Amino acid sequence: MFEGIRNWMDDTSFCLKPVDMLYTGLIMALATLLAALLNNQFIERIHVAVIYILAVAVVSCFTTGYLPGVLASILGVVGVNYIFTYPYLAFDFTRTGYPLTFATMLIVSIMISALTTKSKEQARLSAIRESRTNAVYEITKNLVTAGGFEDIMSLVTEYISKLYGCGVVFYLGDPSQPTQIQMEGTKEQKEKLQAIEEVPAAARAYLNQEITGSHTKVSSDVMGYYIPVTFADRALGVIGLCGDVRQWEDPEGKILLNMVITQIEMAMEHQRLTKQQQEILVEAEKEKMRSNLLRAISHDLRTPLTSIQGSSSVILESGGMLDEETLRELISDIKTDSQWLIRMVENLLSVTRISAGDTAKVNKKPEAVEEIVAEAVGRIKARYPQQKINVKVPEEFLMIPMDGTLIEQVIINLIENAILHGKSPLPIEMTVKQEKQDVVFSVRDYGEGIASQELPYLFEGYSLKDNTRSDGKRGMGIGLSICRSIVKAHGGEIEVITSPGQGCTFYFTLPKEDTVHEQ
Amino acid sequence: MNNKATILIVEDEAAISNFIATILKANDYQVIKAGKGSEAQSLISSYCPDVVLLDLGLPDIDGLEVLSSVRKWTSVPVIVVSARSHEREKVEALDLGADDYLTKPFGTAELLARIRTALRHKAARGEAQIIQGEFTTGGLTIDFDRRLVLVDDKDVHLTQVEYKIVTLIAQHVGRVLTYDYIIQNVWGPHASKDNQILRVNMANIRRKLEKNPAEPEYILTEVGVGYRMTDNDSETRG
Repeated sequence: MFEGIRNWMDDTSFCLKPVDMLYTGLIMALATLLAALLNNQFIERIHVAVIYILAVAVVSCFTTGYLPGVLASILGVVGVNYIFTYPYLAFDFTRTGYPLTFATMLIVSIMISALTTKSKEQARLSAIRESRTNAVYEITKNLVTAGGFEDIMSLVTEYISKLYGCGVVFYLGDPSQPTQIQMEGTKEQKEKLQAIEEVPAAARAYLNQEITGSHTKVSSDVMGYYIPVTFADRALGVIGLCGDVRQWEDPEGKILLNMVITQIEMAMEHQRLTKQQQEILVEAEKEKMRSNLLRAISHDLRTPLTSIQGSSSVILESGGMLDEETLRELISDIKTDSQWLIRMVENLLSVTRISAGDTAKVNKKPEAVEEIVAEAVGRIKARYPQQKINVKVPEEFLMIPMDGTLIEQVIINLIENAILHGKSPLPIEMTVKQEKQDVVFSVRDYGEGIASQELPYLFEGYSLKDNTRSDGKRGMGIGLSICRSIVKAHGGEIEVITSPGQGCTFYFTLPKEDTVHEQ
Repeated sequence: MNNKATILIVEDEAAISNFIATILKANDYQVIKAGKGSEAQSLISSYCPDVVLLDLGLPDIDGLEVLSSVRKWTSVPVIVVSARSHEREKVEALDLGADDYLTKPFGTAELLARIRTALRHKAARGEAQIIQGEFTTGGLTIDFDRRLVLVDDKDVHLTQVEYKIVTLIAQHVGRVLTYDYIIQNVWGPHASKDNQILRVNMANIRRKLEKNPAEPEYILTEVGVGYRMTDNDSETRG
């Protein structure tokens, strides 16, 4: 389809090509031969003219432009006069009747040739139009389903390059500092488009939103032809073409190019809006998570703060009337509650570490698994000196990418949950295992286990109903929801296996290789 | 009878300053308080305290600036106290010459242990660094004269580099040493900043010294900062 358009557009109606001359000569010679053979025996002399007129029609069919037809007409008249009319093998247009006969023959020949050529030209143009419509249709169809700017750019460059047989460059954003560049075409064309002096011309097209480059009024000393891609007066990028200018500068070509550019502009605007909408959705999701967390936390903070405030004012206002034991009890309550608050704040700090970066990704560095586990277990032991914990890590040394502080927080939360909610005298088991692509951390307790109706809300943090939560369990949900956020941000999974009375195993995975990229 | 150690508390929060002062006085230290960075600088020069507890969030000057200006003329032990929990800040403070750091909130036992460590290192600093005799913490013994490392009286074979690392950390027992500090002192000042090789060596040391590498008794990790050798002196964390 593209080939056809290109070949046809190469031709112009008013120039005589050697191949056409050859055809013309050949066909006229054949006509002369045929006429000579048939002459005398089958037809009357004057009918030779008809054979020549037929030959003119044939010539017009097989050649391009008007010239071969006209040439054939003249040759025909000359041939008839010279060979087949008296005086033979001599020119004589002046005998009685001859001027009229030969003039008529010439006019008829030329008219036939002109009509043939014109109808052929019309067919050619409509074929071009059709194939261009198809091309635009195909681009439009593919642009609609394109996913992302990258996709659009590669589609567009490929199409335009095929359509015009030219080199194409597509700058997304300002060409002097583009967000993306896509190129298509032959090596030579690409090199031309990459020359240093090309970029300012392209940038100019972007800034002034006008067509620049070769064969234009602006920066015409460069190789490329630059068209701005805009939407609602906002420049989105620039498309540069490098090749035969006639392809897209002739009226038809220009219309086609404009149509294609309009399609591109619409597709890009559509893409931009889609992207914007997605960002808004993600932002809204984050906001929702944050406000849920805040709500849960403020609720959870109120209890220990009330207790601290209450106990301390009792002590202050009692004026030394409290007995030693009560006083001790109140103070130790204050201590317990403030320690709980400290842990909550540590968890909250971890959350800020995740959401500090815009991409919601964590800052990963290779860390030794055993060091992280050791520090987490060390901290737990400092808090709960009586608690027995069996720790097992793989014999081989494992370094995997993670934010050490965050993973430590996850392990601390899981072990602490096991201690506080499991309430089992048996030791807690902390195990690290290496698998093919992941490292699996698990924390096992032999305590009460978790009721199945609580499981769906376990990692949510905020869905636990107040009446199902005793004071001892406060904060568990938040801790786990933070664990899940941390593990997910690392590209891992967190899960629990439990049945009431059998204890439970929380385990989470971390990928060994850093395979989590921006999505 | 005035041979009590003097401790300067630089802290703008009166409540925290009060509680630290109370603990320290109860443990027989002499206490001076400063609420601002500028005040701290002049108090350090006029009182020559034995240990400085420096809060990083001060109203007038950033605590790190106070630290670097003080470090220009005195080697008084400085323990940085900070609510900033990001390890990068800890490393920065240690690299600027802080002897140790405490992250808020901290327990009294931890505070006292750090102060004792700082005082001991101050006393040791006068003499040549201990690279002779013996060093013991828990079941770990390092015999510097014979270049031997013993765990529960059993000889442990360490490579040259491993021995260097262990002795370096032992010389600064109780204090956290940053990755960079260890690398510079073991591999030399031009060694690569990449701490991978140190981590691998440390993993090997751990497998040789510790019963369970995941529950180390002698060399503790401060995630993202460095390593610390435990002190006999009840090391507590919270």
